[in-house]
Amino acid sequence: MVVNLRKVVLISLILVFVFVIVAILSISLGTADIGLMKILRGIFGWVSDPVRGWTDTDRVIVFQVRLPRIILAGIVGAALSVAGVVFQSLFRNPLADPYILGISSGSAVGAILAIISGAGLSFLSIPAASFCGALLTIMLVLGIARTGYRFQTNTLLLAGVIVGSFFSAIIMFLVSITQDERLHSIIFWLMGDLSLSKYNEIIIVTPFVIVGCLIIYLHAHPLNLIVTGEETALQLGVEVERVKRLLLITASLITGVVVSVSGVIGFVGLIVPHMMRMVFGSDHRLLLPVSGLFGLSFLVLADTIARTIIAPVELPVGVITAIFGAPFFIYLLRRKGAI
Amino acid sequence: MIRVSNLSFRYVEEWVLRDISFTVKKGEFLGVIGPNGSGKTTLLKSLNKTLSPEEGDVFINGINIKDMRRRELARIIGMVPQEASIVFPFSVLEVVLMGRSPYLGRLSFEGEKDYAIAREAMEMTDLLSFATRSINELSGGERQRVLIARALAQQPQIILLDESTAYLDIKHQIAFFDLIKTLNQKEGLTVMAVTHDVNLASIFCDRIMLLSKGTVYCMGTPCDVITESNIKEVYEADVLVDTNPQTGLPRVTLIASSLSDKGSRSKADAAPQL
Repeated sequence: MVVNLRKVVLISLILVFVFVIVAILSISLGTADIGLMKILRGIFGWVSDPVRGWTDTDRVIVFQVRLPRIILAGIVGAALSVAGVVFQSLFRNPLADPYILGISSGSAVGAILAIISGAGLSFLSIPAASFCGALLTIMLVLGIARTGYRFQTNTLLLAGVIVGSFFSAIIMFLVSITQDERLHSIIFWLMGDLSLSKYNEIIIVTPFVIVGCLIIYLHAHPLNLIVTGEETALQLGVEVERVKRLLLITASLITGVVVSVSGVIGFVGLIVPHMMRMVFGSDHRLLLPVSGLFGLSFLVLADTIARTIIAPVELPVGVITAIFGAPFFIYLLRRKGAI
Repeated sequence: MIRVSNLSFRYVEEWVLRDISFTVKKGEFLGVIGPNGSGKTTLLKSLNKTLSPEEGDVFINGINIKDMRRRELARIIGMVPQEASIVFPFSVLEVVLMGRSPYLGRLSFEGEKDYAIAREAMEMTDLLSFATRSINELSGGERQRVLIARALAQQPQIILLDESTAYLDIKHQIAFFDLIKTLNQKEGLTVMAVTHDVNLASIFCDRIMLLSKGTVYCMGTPCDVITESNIKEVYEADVLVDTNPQTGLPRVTLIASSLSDKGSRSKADAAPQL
């Protein structure tokens, strides 16, 4: 399992292809039956006749409802998976996930405050409030754990857990004092929900995620060395503190950005990196891109199930990632017998 | 090759190293011995910027390491730690190739030359048949050989050994030091080895540094340093020093105080009958 550039490009292309198939399937599925053939005809007949057999309703459902949702699910899935890899590797802890520094609770407090205050009705105010919450949490946790310019990994973990529990308490308090239909919005947000995806959100979130992932990928090889021990990495020429600081902040930011538009979708950032490690090994030069690209398909698939399994009722996607993800993960774990 | 002048280091309050100065010549095999807490590992880690001492300077090839980038330093100095805990499953070849990282560009993948060097390092450490195995599946001795191979893949001029054989059995200890000694003699590799095993140090080292409470107690040939009085003074332990029949170098025998008087000896004699 030695990684070279050709292998990385090849496997990445395969995963992109998988995503395209998943996305096409996902577009055709839903309460309103559009049909796979119609979608395919739409795609392949694009140049000659874009409206071949499509009604106006079809077009609205595909372009205004399903497509933005799929794109956003993909971006969120990719970002959470990449952030998950980074946190697991920086903490050298297989249990770490993108929320390990308490970002989920912090952003939830922001979102809930926006929902309760009724500001949630206006454009993008919930994502904005939630992102502020995430940012505040990151600054708080990094601030607590910082000694000089260094971040002690254990202190960071502890600070993350403590700040996270503090905000969880505030969440419980806010939930307890809310009674009307806003409670439903809050719970959906807490379980992760993509049903209200808009192109606006995609336009705002995508650049952050792409730039963040590029920064992280530029440090794929130093990350390999840090995983084998921080002192070893120093001795092999890595500026460990600088890389750690940069990656911590970048991974936290992309997590905060996607959480603000999707709510707290659990399990993706934990399970996707592990599945990819089992299949492709631990070299981050391969692991990071395959985790990101598989994360795309994984969350789109999960979200498709969430909106179709008991249609017309839609489930929060977080329910699906956990219900289907956990058993599959256990299966992989038992089969390979390794982390 | 290595020149250390007036080096002092502390983690928090207490000074762990106090005003240490010494030089190591190119191609020399220097042993560092001393009791627990005498500053051996701290000294080693101060030489390659794993730790940054408050006072004093370290010069490698005449250049102050404060003015060197880590990558440059990693091309000159390799280090073999006591053991490695690698959580995620890397293959042996992958770990050995990590030794090439000081020579790689940021995104660049290892090239043919890097593979050739890694293979050579694995051949020297007898690891070729393990190449695709996960490092987590190996025994302690095998894993230690992987760490040596990684250090060799760095193609260093200096290698630092931090109690590298502490968890190895006798066979692998000797094999390890034989390999290092061969590289030292054939390739002119400069070696600085921290060890608790005074006898191994005596056999393999050109010179030995005896550390005591963060200062150099004495430094010289094994015959000069390993004496009953020095060991007694620094380690606060009674030993017997005689001559190794194979090498003519000093040999240390530990004296157990519980066995030195008659009463306890008869108890010990009785033990096997139980």
